Amino acid sequence: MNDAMTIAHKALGAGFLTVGLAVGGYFLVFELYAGQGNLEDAFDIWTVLNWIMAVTVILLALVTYAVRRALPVDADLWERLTASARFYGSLVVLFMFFNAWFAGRWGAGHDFIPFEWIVVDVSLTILAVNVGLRLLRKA
Amino acid sequence: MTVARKALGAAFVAVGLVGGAYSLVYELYAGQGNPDHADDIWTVFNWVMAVTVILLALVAYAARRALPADADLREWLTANVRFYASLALLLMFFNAWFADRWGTGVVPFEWIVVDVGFTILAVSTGLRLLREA
Repeated sequence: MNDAMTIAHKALGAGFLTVGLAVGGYFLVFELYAGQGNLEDAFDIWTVLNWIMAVTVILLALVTYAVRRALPVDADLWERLTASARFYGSLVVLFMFFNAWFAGRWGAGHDFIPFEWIVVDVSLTILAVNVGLRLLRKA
Repeated sequence: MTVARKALGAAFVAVGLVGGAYSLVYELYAGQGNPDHADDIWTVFNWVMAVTVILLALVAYAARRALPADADLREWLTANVRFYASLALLLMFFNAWFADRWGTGVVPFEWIVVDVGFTILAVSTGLRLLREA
């Protein structure tokens, strides 16, 4: 791996790790902050964070796709399983994130949005941290 | 180590069974005109669940780290599924608890997922610890 690729891997890994921890941390803190009478301010932070999450879910899908494509023919079953789980997991998060975001922000909304956000926030946290750590280790 | 494993395993099984049983009994009890008292039991039990979900994540992480390099696929899968499930449960439990107790109100379906996930994960991890002790 050349220097440019190593730097790109490290930057992307650190970026995923930061976004994952920020989403997971704010997912837990949000209710405590909003419950102190700061509901609008608390939602404003999600409004900003959602744009970062939108870029992150797209990048996660692209990176996990590239990793899956780059598997050697003789890759063992475990490598294939983890690469596929990460790729399909990132696709599910991508679809659910954009559905929840579009429906809540510009759409007519639907009954499942609140729970959909919980699934997206939890999955994105785990996936972004996991892929970020893997990129940093491999860089 | 054996005693610690047995104690932790027994505690996980006990807490998991109590949580699972009470999530079933709760509606029957609350429906008999005791909604406040039925909720009070959850208020106390949530503190026990808070400690348990943290311990479950730590135990699952330690088990995943301790896998030998030549562990077979089944061992890898179960260790990873337990670890990531315990992380998801931890995030969802604290979100639901904070929302319910100090926040803006919990999303109703979230507690159902947490209670079911908690019961299954605590009992299964507890039984594994007891078997391996």
